[in-house]
Amino acid sequence: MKRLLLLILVLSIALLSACASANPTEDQNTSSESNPTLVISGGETSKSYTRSDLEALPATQAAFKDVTYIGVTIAALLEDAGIDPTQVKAIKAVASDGYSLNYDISQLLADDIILAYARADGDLAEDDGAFRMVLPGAEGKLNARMLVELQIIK
Amino acid sequence: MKLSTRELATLAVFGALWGLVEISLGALLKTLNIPLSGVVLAAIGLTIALVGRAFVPRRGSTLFIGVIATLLKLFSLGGVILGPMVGILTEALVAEIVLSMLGRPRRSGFVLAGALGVAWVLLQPFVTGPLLFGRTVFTVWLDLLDRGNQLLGLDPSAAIWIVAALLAIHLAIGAVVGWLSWDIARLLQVRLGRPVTSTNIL
Repeated sequence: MKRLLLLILVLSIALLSACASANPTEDQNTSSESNPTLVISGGETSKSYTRSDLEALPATQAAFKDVTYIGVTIAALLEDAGIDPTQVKAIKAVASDGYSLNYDISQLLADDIILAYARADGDLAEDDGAFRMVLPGAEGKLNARMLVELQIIK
Repeated sequence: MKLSTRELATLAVFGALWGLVEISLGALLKTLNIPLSGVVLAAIGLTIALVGRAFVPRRGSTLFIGVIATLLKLFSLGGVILGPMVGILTEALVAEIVLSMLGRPRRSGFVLAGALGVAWVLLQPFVTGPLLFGRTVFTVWLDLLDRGNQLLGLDPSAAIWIVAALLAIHLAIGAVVGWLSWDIARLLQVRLGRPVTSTNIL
């Protein structure tokens, strides 16, 4: 009985420590917390965007879970960054807590899919971070939040 | 296969336990973006399901537990989330297939069922991603390599090693789950004073 309990305890600790070990990039944007930036990177391209930079691009609205967001389409963002979408295979969205998710480029080029920097009724919520993806109708985890980087995969 | 009322009630209790773990701990782990959260949940869930199987060693009982847990997951705080629901059901199905193929309950069967059930966590996104969420196999593959990079520190270019290491970790954790489930079931049956017959695992 004691051996079994000990084994369960060791296994639980091992699993939880494995869980806790890998959140490497806590707050990558802390250096610019007052003016957070989103980096578009890939190959030789690397361009940083602040909220005001994004606001200068054509704004689009998209809704997710009854909230309307304001942002820019991925197509417009890529165009502004000088990236040809036909050369892109996927885009990896990286969040400030280390979470990352790869999107197929065809999934992101629809007109209602945006990189949001605000809600229709004000700023993004605190847990949204400065920038977030909005994919209406898609599963929650595909709507990545707290974004700090979009890596272009060619 | 016809289950008695007592057997159905027993399976419902185990299914409800698995479901409650998914609803409570599952929501917490997903919110915290903890790596391997799927493995932790599968490990706990399969432990419950395998112990339940030992209590009702009848064909279909593990799947029944999974169905109950899946139904409970409908009431998750985050609403209806298809991925975890499919996950619970398929983990139970994988364990059920293994146990049904091996016939009489034995420790080796529990170990194999646990190993393959947890390993399914690794493979599931390749099925549910394209089928349910409009993702491509390529992007799911990239996610897998990124997870391997984060967890193991291996460069994504070492794809084979990442997959082999992740698969080995999943199988090993699942095997331990199966091994422990056997012991937990035996212990519980003794503690509860259940009659020891040829149909249960003692």
